[in-house]
Amino acid sequence: MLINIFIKQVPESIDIEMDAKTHTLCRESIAYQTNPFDLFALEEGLLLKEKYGGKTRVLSMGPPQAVKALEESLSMGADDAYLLSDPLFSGADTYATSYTLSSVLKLIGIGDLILVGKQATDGDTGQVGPELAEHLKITHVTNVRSIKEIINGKKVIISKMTEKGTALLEVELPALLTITKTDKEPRTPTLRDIVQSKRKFIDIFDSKRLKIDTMKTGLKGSPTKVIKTFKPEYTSEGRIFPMSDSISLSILLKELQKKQENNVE
Amino acid sequence: MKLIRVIKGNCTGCGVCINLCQINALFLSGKTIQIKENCTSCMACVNICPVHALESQSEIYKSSIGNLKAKGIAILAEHDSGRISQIVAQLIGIAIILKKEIHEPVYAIIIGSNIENQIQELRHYDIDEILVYKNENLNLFNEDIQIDALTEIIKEKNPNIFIGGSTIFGRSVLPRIAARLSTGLTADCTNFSVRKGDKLLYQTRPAFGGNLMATIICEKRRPQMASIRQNIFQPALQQKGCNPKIIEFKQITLPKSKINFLEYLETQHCTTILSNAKIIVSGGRGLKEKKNLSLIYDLAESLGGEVGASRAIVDAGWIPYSHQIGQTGKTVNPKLYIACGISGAIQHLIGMKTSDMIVAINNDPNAPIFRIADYGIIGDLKEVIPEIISQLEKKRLNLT
Ligand SMILES: Cc1cc2nc3c(=O)[nH]c(=O)nc-3n(C[C@H](O)[C@H](O)[C@H](O)COP(=O)(O)OP(=O)(O)OC[C@H]3O[C@@H](n4cnc5c(N)ncnc54)[C@H](O)[C@@H]3O)c2cc1C
Repeated sequence: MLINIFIKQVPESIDIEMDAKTHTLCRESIAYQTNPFDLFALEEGLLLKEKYGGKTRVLSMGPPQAVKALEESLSMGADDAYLLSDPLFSGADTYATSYTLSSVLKLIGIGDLILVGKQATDGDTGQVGPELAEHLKITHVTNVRSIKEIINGKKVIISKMTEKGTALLEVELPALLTITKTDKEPRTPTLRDIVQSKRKFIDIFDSKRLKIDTMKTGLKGSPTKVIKTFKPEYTSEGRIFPMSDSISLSILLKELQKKQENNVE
Repeated sequence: MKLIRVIKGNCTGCGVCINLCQINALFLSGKTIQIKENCTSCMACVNICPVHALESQSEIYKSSIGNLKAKGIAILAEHDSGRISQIVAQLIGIAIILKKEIHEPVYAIIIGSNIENQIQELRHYDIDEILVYKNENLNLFNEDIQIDALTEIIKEKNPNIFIGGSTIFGRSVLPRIAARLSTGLTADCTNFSVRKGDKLLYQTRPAFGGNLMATIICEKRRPQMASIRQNIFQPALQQKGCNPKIIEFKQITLPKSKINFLEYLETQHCTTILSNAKIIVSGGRGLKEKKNLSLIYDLAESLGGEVGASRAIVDAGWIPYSHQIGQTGKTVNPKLYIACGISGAIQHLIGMKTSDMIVAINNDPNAPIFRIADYGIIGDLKEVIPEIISQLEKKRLNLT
């Protein structure tokens, strides 16, 4: 089994500042972490490798400091790491991002399974996974809750969360799965894991090594453009009172009753 | 960014473009035009040049030509268990508003097997056409071939705008269709407006868990695609006398799906369609014990709402993950959200802070949840909740 896992470095706090001119993130002065859903995807990939053998690769696109996220994945047990980094990749929307990500797999091999987090906590779109699958022309399934079994290296049995419940599906490989929070808590590397992983190598690709058409990457290659960003107002002139305040309580109850009646209609 | 190139052999040095350029990025050097670094690639000069001596180097622009014919507002009519989904009326609602601005027809696209019922439902909305593709092999899960069918319909119809719901289905198929059509897609929009003249769609969406709003455009590619957040937009109402034309796409053939549905593992959450709920009562670690969860269920029942949860009690195993609200759970947007024994960690707030009315019950007056609550009751939930339930009961009895 060759499993490719895509991860993204995201701001730790989502209370962020945007550059007023370029409408992109002010990247200085913020702390970063690996997108939480991606860690669930990584854990799932590592468990599969332990069960079926093979290799796990982690891949990321981002500025040079994104190596930190890849180092974390390596210390958790991933075998190889790749960083796609080039100023020409910056400002990409989901289309240009997924195109760029697809180009590395076209060079180094798609493998059997591609895992990505359900969505990233910064952009919140959840679009890169399905778009990546399209660029690679392979099947995808979103919102996967667990990977149950690989059958003869040809098929994978998974459970998918839907509005109606959890469904068991059988999907032909190669496939791309977007992973939601699972029951398997991502492992914490030991000090020894961390020290040992320092020996692993992170392969960095720029646009030249990727042999990619840079008209299709970054801001330039993005069909969508952010033209304005603003902070939403959430004003709460909340009425906070102790339960003993019976007047306030009765006002609240009237409100609740109104909602209750509207709901019945 | 400078993306315009001068084709030297073509340029006659007529200077038409120089007068047009708003930022003086063009000048004559000898008999040919030169472009300065301050060029923003607005394309004005490319479009006006009488001898085609200016060319855009952007892929995006090149492939857009010809797409100016795109016309119409298409919506994705997803459906489940024989009925169109709730999101569909909301999509039609937006489409009707957009139609007033851009004067283009509205199409509802529906595909599936046994969809007569759903088509009948759609016929009662004020739309122009229902685009239908029937195939008995289509089911809830073989999205791979549904994407094929939907893309074919879009290609054939060439709409200017194509919107769907940011439901689990929409969030899976729309990105893939967008990538296949090499166009943009804006996720989870909460507002739209149209630029007069060129009918460009301004799409506004939250990012960073709602801490930032972004307005996004897709200038050069068609269709302009977006998914909409659930329960933000006013649903259209069914009417009498609408008579949309039904157009069936018979010629599409589909390959065999690579996704095979085996069985449902758990369907008990059928009842917890949280993302559509108008009222949600949520419990957190303040419940102290699993058995106190019954208080949450009782209050939800008396209000006719659904039950949500903080991650703390999901991790504790008191309630399945499908109830979790927040950054790693569901995003909900009910008319009323009651948080009981939930501290209000940012990761929880992300999932519920756009609710119309937020009520918090917490015994700690400094709990952060109170900062976004419209009403907060400081007290022990074991006393407050039963009190609310009994008061609501009393009021109801008085009424009837
Ligand atoms: C990457 C990441 C993702 C996360 N995603 C999510 C997510 O999706 N959803 C989510 O909810 N959390 C999420 N969290 C966790 C989040 O940070 C909080 O830990 C969690 O929301 C806390 O749950 P809680 O409010 O129930 O518990 P607590 O923070 O322990 O709060 C319990 C509250 O109950 C009150 N209380 C105690 N006793 C009573 C009583 N008798 N009556 C009334 N009130 C009482 C207390 O005053 C306290 O405010 C995430 C965290 C991380 C790091």
